[in-house]
Amino acid sequence: MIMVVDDDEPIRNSLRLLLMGEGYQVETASDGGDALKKLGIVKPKVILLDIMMTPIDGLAFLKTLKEKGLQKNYAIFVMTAMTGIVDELKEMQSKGIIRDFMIKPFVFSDRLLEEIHHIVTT
Amino acid sequence: MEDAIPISTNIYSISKDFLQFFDISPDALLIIDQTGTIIVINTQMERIFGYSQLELLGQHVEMLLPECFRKIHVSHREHFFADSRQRPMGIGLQLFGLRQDKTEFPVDISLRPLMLENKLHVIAAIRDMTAQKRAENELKSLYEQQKRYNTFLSMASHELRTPLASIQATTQMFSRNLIRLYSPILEKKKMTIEATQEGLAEMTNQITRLNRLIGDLLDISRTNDGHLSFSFSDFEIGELVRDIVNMLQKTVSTHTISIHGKGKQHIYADRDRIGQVLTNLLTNGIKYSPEAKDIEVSISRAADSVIISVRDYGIGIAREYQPHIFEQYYRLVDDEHKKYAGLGIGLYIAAEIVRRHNGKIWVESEEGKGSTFSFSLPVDKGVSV
Repeated sequence: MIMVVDDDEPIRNSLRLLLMGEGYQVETASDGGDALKKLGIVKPKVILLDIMMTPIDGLAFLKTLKEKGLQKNYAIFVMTAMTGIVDELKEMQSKGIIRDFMIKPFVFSDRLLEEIHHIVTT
Repeated sequence: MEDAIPISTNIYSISKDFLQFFDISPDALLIIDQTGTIIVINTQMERIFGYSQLELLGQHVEMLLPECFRKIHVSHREHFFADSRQRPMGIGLQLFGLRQDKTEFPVDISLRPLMLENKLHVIAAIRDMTAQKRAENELKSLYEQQKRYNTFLSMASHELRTPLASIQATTQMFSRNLIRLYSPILEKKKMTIEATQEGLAEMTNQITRLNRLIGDLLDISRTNDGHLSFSFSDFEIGELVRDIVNMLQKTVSTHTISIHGKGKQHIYADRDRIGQVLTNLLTNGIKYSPEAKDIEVSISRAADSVIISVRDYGIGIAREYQPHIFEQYYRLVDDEHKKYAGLGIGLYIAAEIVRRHNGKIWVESEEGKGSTFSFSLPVDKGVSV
């Protein structure tokens, strides 16, 4: 299963459909708080995470996961339009908190879809 | 006490030279004694305050202050005489003067102790700050407008980009699915077909949204340069309301829109534009009531107008924001509203359309309980376009 966390409904929905077309079960959440709540029920292997969300943003979500020691359970891909936090994201990537990040607007590369496929099927 | 200027002139026979010297100042000047009595003034005093010399000389200086400051000024004055020192202008105090016609105006004042006939007096220079304050306020409002406009521009690009990003992801899905659907070994074929079908509907939605956004952007540029065009005709408002509601209801599954009110009301108006106003109020009602499911539209008749109201049971609008929501580029940015997409121009355009029909638009709302947006349109042909 894959979880898509984005507060923009059209983006959330189109990503859900894109991944559904690839044959994955998809759960969506509208902010960090919603995602944390749903992670108590579903167990996705991959999380696609937006950063700028209200009320609970992506960074706060990551912080909570880390505090609970849960971030290792998920392969987290950050999607953001905020180029100002690239250094912070690189550091998180090197620490293994997130798997990778994409700067919006972006198109899913074949490589990324293969990587997701690999994570979900193993 | 410091800086006192010794003058030996008898104050009741001040020389002409001294008065001319006094008059050259662009600021109003006056000298008062320890009791606050006005001893000398220059012509600027008469001009700024609107009193004649005779009306001012021998009077208490407090007559030049708004009523509410008089009492405190007496104690300030006594304090100043007890410990007098020079006080320059522009030290940021909000001071006001009172003209002869009882109007108040902002002033700046500098004070300086002055020895006349061995008695301590005070000379005051008073500057009328009306023009400067007005300029400051204009600058402030321009700055506010600029700030709102910049926020609007960044919101607008975000708003335009969101449906585009969605369409981009959906077309990517289409091209991948097309290849996959032709593959003889496709697993989960049903899911792929389902996603493709849903994707088409989603894409249509997003294109409609893009269209509406661009329409709003065009409208705002037209209202700003006065070219919002109208085409008037006679029509029955109830029929328009039903058309709009039916059309919207087709794309909305979360809310049920009901229509209340009887009787046919013919109006002379721009049918499309009034439809646009109603669509805007309805989509707002739906957007800001995610937890509720009812939207009620009512048509009622007042003396010489017909009133259309749209009621929702959503998050509502705090009282302090209500007077501003029909302003250009005004968008509520508290946490409760931040999560809702929008440009902050829909209500402004709606209000502009209603105004151009000689109608009124208003809101009644309570935070957490919902809002009722209403607009009225004249039933006779009292239209100015």
